[in-house]
Amino acid sequence: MSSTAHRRVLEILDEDECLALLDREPVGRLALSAGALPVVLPVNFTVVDQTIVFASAPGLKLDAAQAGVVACMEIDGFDVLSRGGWSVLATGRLEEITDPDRLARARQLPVSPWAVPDADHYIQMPIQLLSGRRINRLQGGAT
Amino acid sequence: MKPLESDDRSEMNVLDVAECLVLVRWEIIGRLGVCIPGQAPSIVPVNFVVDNDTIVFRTAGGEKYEHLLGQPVSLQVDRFDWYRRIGWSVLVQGVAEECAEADVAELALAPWAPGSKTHAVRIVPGSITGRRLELKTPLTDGRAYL
Repeated sequence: MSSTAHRRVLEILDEDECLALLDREPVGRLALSAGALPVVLPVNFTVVDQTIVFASAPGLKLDAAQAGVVACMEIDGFDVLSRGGWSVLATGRLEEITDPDRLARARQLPVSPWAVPDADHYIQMPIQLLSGRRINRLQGGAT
Repeated sequence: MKPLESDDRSEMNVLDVAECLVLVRWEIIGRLGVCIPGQAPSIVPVNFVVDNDTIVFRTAGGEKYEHLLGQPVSLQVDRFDWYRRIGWSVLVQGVAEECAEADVAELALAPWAPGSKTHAVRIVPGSITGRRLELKTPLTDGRAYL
């Protein structure tokens, strides 16, 4: 392995790039603390007005939302051949959507969970912190 | 595997530990979940290897690394089929431990990110759980193809 073959650069994504990627990905991974242990779960989600929205059946996620815990949603993409990729992390407080108007709107969103299509609780996470990174080959570097 | 939830289209099955480990061994990138008390949870992608049923990855030294040691952490891997709306996810939970360089010198652990990642971390699993969502009947028409 020559050193030039691994010349890569770590770029910080700006907020617009992070939001564009969040808009594009149908599934993210939600991390929350359950009994002091980190749990990471795939979630089918969408973004409305800088707020992550997903549906949930009763259980861990809904309990967390009703307790108003802080969680994060991560999305990423990788290329094994070039050993490059990107990831975006959004952090915020989970809340169950209970307002009837907002609930009616949430029901129209394409967030039906793959495993539980009739899940009828909706959770939102207004994004408070948003960050993203990309690992790329160095521009003009070795091929 | 045992069924957990089911509808007309698909069925959620619980994976046993051996099935989870087979899937984890095939993956190169996992998501490290960390919940340090008093801080927001975070997820960072890491490239990792499975070594004697433990997870090993590299990180830079410094404050982040110091905070990680002794903490409960998790490593999550998954694969999805967007079209069929199926997939699987495995979660390994354990404590992050310091790992001697001599123990991991033979492992394929060169990190993807630039910068020197001088410290190796090992997760000794306390629990390994996984689920797989699969179709009840194949989507493809049996008469088609070949």
